[in-house]
Amino acid sequence: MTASPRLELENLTITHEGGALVSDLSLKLAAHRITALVGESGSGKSMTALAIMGLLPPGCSAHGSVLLNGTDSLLGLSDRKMCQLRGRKIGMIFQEPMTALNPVMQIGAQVAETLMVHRITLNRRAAMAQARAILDRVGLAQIALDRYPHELSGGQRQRVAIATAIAAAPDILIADEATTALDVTTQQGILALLKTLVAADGMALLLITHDLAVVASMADEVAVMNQGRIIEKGDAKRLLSNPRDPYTKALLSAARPAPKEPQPVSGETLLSVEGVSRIYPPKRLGLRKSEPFVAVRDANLTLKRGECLGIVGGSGCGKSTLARAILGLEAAQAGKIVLDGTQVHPKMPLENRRHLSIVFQDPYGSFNPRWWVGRVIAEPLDLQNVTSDEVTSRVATALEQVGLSPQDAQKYPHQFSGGQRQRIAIARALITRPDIVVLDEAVSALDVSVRARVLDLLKSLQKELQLSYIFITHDLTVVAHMADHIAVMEHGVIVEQGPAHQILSAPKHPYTENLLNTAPRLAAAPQKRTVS
Amino acid sequence: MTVQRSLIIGGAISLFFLALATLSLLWVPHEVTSLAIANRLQGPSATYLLGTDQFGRDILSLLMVGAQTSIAVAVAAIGIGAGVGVPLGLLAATQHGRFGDELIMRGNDLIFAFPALVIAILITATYGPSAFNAILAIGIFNIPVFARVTRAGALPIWTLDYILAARVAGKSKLRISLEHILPNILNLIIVQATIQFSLGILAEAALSYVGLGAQPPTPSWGRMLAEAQTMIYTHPMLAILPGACIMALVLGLNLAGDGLRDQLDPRLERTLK
Repeated sequence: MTASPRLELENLTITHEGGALVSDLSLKLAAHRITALVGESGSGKSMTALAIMGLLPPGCSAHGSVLLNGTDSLLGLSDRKMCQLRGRKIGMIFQEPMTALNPVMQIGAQVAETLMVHRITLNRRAAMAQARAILDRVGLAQIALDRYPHELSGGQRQRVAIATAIAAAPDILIADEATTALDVTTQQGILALLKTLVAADGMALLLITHDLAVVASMADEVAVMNQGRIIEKGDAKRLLSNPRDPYTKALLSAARPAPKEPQPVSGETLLSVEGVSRIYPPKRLGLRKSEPFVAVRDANLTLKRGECLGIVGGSGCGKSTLARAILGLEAAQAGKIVLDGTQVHPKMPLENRRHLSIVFQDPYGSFNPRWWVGRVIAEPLDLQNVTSDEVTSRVATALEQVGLSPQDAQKYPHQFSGGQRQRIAIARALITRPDIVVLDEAVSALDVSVRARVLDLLKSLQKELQLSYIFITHDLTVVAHMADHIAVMEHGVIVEQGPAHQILSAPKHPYTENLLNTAPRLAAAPQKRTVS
Repeated sequence: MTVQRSLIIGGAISLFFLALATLSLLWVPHEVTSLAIANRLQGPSATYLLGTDQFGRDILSLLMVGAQTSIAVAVAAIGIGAGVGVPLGLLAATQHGRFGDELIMRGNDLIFAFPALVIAILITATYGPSAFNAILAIGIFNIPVFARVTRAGALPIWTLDYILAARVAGKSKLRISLEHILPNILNLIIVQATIQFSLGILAEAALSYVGLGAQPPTPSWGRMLAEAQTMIYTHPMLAILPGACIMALVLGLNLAGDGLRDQLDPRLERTLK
């Protein structure tokens, strides 16, 4: 296949206030091919996509050349001209399916809108009929045209977004982190759909992602970006199995942390969760009452000192709800949680709270933006009997433990990067010298290289301070790297639990098996796609 | 950090009137209570910069003391509104979805359901017209505004992780409200206060205009307007001057409120990466 490329970027440079965000980027997108643009946050990959679409934020300017189908230059086109191309020649799918759709517009109308805007059909009826056909293609044959986005699941919404993007049969499709916000099983479906569409329609797909596992299962060609430059590009199979550039090598090794060696944990039992259920009371809907919602049903878990317990499951499976009960924030409706001989419940004495702490996923929402870091970290001590001198020294110790300097206590959270913020969150969790730290998706929002360092930190802290972790995640590679023991949750029920190596190598429950099979894995060799 | 242009202009106008009002506490060109019929209805001169009214009082002095009345009434009304409304809103947010929340917010709706000016007239008609009753009437109608803004601002913050972290530390809802919630919605409350300020100025002027606000001999912009209306064809400046003052101050406060909202919006602090 040596047809002229659908899109050709040459020496694309994007500047903002004098600084270059992307420099000298050259890339070709061919029909029927999936090209992945990989990089960590801030590497300039999304900026590249926006430049192609002519949607750069104000203050940014692009130079170089962007050629569509070999002839039409896209840079410097008037907005009116660009509008005719966007959606018609180039389609785009975004990360967040909820915000990419108009919440007050029926899904059929949203797909039909693309058709009408580009005058493919002027007849509203015909447009709706065509919208029906397109929604059928993306696997939504069961969904009526008059549904609203909020009535659909995340995966279905992303399918609607894809339908609007492909409605006008564009030559190029750009998917910017299109599956990042989805569960692994849903992600798998969306990726398979994109592959089928590319094969059938002959689009050129530009897949922008930070996830090398997705790249491995999808891409024909890969370009790795770092700090605005393409570091390495080439055939996907070659690049992933035999990377040349040191950055690519580091990225690949960070993306597949080694599974933990099974080792017996001999500590005494620290926490036991016995038959715990979390039931939300029925809601009043007008005159009717809804059914009570069972978020967690009859959960049994034990955690030993120095052990790491992984809780795995898709979104909405009840893992965070269970964690809140374990932290004593919400009462369990049945069963009991015992920590070191005393029961955990919302009204437990403050002294007992000290043993439990938590680290959250979002490194941006975890801190009061108006507090300096020292106060943020010291907050758990506010209600404990600790003198102010000791607070200062403990904050300094905690900062050093997580690899920051005691001077950082004087700064504000927004002055730190995502990885550093997560370190601050860990410092806050350690300040009360807890026994158990709940890590709720604590590394999910981090770039792989940052994630690898935070995981290392967590492991060394665990050894040093004899901590027990409850590691909540949807990411199986990470849980394999961290956990001694794994519990898998589905619809509020722990469907399977046991030693980590056993769950990961010989799952017994079909849901676990499905999770393991659908998660894109980097180790797997990229499958050869047949191109018609 | 750049300062919003509307904040500079609006702030300058508002501060100008505030300065006038403060100055009038210490010094005015002419005593506003001394009548000198001989000097009535004079045009602008070196002695009377803006002329005199039908009783021979200096209009500039009247406007200065009038600014003091207007601002004092509006500020006191905001004090009542925010002093009661903000704690109510914080409390409602802690009770979100429960009976307490419903009780507070439906109580608010009840106050909203009455036309403010008519109730103010009712209060002043029942307890007699005075500046104090005007403050009370305007203040009561500020309460639900502040309660709503506070609750609406507080609810999304309650879902954030740092609130959960504070609860893991064992902090009570009251303490979290004061330590975490209030400082993070203070910008909303300040902006709302400037808007209520301008509405308060208007309400005071309206009440005084119908004779239910500040009583003679206390000068007030609204009453100056009322007294000038019989002479509007012969001496239009008597109506135009207090009217222009009301308009300028309200405009200035609205501009300042708009500018403050943009200035305090944390999203604008973030620069493009």
